[in-house]
Amino acid sequence: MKTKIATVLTLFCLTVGTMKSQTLEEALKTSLTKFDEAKTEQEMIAASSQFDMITNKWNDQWAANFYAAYSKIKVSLKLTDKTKRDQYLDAANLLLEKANKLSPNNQEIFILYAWAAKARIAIDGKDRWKKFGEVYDDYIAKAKKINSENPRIFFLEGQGPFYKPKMWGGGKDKAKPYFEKAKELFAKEDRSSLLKPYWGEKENEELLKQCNE
Amino acid sequence: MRRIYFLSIWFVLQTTLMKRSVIFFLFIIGFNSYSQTTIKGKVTDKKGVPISFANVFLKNSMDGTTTDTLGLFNFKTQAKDTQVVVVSFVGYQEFSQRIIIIDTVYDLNFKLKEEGNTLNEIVINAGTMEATNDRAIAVLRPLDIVTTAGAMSMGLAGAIQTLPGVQRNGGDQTGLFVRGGDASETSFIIDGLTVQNAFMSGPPGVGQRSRFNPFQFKGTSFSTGGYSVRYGQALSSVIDLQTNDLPEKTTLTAGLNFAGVNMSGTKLMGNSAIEYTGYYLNFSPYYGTAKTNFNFFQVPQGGGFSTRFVSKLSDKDYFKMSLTYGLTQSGIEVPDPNNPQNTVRFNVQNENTLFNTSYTHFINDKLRSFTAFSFSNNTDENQWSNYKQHNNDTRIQGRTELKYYASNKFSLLGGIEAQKYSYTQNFDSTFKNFDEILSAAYLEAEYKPARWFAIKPGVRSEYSQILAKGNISPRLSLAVKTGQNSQISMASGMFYQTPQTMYLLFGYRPDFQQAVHYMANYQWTKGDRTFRIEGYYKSYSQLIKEYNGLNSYYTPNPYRFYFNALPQKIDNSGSGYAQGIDFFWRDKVLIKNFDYWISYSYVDTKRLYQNYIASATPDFVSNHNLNVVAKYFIEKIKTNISATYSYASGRPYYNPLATDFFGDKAPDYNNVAVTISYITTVKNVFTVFYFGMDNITNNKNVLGYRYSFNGQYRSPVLPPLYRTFFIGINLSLSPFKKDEL
Repeated sequence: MKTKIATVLTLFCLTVGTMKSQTLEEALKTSLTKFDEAKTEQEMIAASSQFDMITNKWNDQWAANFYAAYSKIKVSLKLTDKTKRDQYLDAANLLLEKANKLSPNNQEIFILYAWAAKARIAIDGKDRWKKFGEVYDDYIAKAKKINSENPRIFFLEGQGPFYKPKMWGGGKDKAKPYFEKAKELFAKEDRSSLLKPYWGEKENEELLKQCNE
Repeated sequence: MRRIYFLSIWFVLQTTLMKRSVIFFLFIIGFNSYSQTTIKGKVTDKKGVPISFANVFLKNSMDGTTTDTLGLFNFKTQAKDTQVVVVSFVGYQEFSQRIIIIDTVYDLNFKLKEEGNTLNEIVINAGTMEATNDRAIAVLRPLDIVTTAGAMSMGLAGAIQTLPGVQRNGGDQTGLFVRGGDASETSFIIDGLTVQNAFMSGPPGVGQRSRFNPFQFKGTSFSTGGYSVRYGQALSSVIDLQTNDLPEKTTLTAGLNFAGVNMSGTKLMGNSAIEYTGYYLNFSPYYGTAKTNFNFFQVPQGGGFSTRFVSKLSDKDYFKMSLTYGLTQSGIEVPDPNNPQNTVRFNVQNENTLFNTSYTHFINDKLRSFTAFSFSNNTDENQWSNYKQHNNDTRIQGRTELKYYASNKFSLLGGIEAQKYSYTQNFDSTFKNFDEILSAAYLEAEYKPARWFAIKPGVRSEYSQILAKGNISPRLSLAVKTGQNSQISMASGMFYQTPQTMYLLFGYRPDFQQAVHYMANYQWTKGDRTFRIEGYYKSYSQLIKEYNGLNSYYTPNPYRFYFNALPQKIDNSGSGYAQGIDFFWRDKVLIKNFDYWISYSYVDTKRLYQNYIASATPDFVSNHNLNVVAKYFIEKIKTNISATYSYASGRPYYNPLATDFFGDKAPDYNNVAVTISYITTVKNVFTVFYFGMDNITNNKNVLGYRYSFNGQYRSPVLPPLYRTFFIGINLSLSPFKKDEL
């Protein structure tokens, strides 16, 4: 009993006392875990706001802005209200701009830019395919130039045919090879540090599953 | 937080823990609470509804928190002196407040203002309606132009006629009449270059269709005035068309309809593509379904082809080259312009070639170059009763420009342009010709210092060799955002145009004609609804005026120079004005799959020009124009129904016996057009059947009257046909698998 209480107390003290001496990576890890576990919109938004706090604290770190942007895109994809979804993507773009300034020519930032453009199209494909299709192409080309074997590139490239009607040359069967290639590359990926982003495996797995249905 | 600490202490004491721990713990509390300030409060929206998960923090510090589900927050800081509290949340304007930390507790309440999204960006659009896919929010899309009922028989120009500011053409006139301007005041531009013969050639009194297929264009920008310095030589309007970039895939399509057959294809080869079309026109089936108001002794027929090469050289660099050729002929009995009670046989054969090429290249991230070149040759062989008339015009045009994107707030465009235009005419035994070289230079800046303000000043200068005169036209347009979904835009400028071909051909060399535009609009766009209202004033000066001394008279004959004595002199003393108001409303969400727009234009215009003997509203002007365009897609049966209702108040006509010059008015014009298209697959071939009907009520529209010289005889001006049918089929022959649908 005594030790148990002591442990609780120590942990308590640690959270209170060490909040400020935590490293960026630790903070990101905590928030990311919380974000990944979030199920409802509200939980996701709450977790996403945690990333903003990290950004405030480490505002000179590209990774802080990067993960905040990542969370905003995911929230946008989760929501249903069109205006809100766009606003989250606006926020994501602002954060990406900051990240891009802090870390120019960073492939992972280009990939998030591309993903944000995809999320714009997801809101209103009919009216947006052209404008954001071009934005997407721009960023994915920039990302490929740096390293074409990034699994997230294949994860994003697969979404083109995945969401496009068969009539217009899309279809799940056409998307599947991309997701499979992404899966293969995800398996080989280095996951030692959040500062080298490795997101996307779960999302890719989800789409691949739908391709196999 | 502090409350939790004390609860903890209480908890600790209750459980009689080791003394050491207690001391240790108290030490921490003591350390942490030393000179700390609590900042707490609530974040709500303007209506007082709590905002949860909003961020509240001190700027440039590590202190802050997020609000709970009740919008409440509470955090501590050791910061001193002046601090800035920042409150932010997605969808709201960021709020910050300066506080001077003296007390230990601050209770702050924040009300955040809602914010729109960045997609509803500010657009300078005074005078301009644009059909584009380039922006996330646009009033019109290229597809809207293609699917407008009634547009089929008129081509691209037919759809543009349903937009505000344009006269509804009853079928007797060729060209676009914009805001009180005549057809010659509208210029068609493709990829930055003027198209000399945008419409087919035909006999007088029979409206001709525009040459282009609306599917060719990714963007159509229709300007009713105040347009960019890139263009000149149009007193009223510019239709700026941008051709498609790379096609998505290789295709082959064939079409068959009441007016002929056509075949077209695209071949995609990596980053390049070749497109080709070929067609044969024959209007016999079309004219066969209805009684024509004229005797077409030779129904319009002809053929042509076009081919295009487009290459995407890198991310944003494009090279485009196209060649179009067409040959058509027709023969019709029309009222004799000299003697309206008689008819004359009029044969026309037209041969038209157009070559266009353009190259867009980004020299670096901030500098874009655009170079374009075009050549056109157009020949009309007319037989007019016993007279033979041969007209030929050639045009060579080049343009090169640079655009510098200094930042996303400021850009600068500069360019030069030169065009050589030659016209020759043999009429009976006379021969006339002229050559003109027009050169121009222009400079335009676009500055968006804030998200709510944009301004575009520019200047264009031209020199005409044939007139041996130059001009300088300053232009200015701007836009101010007035709310999340609304903006005001204004434009003004000076516009010049050389006198009409007829004057130049007969050796007259007056000065440029001039128009000054002023316009302002208010536009509201929310989701799929758009409201727009625009008012304008246009003053014409330096218009061409013919003088015949004391015995001046008016004749409505456009060929008067050939049959009557030439004017004693002509000069630039003509003038006029046009003022009016345009409305536009579009709603795509009222009913699912139902989309409609209403455009209404009022114009008040008068001019004294050419051979007018008094200031009058010209015979091509309807004061009121109304168009209602509706489209409905029935998903279940894959059928699209499109209908257009057009109303135009009666146009003035010339009655030699009337006391008021152009004082008489024709009856109002009414027309309902419907197009039904059905999409299906026949044996794996993607197929569209379409059926169109124009003037379904078979309304006997009379567009005006022509009088004999003494006024004793008059004949009505009629459209070529009343009710017409149009049936066609389009087949996509590119490989398709059944399961792909």
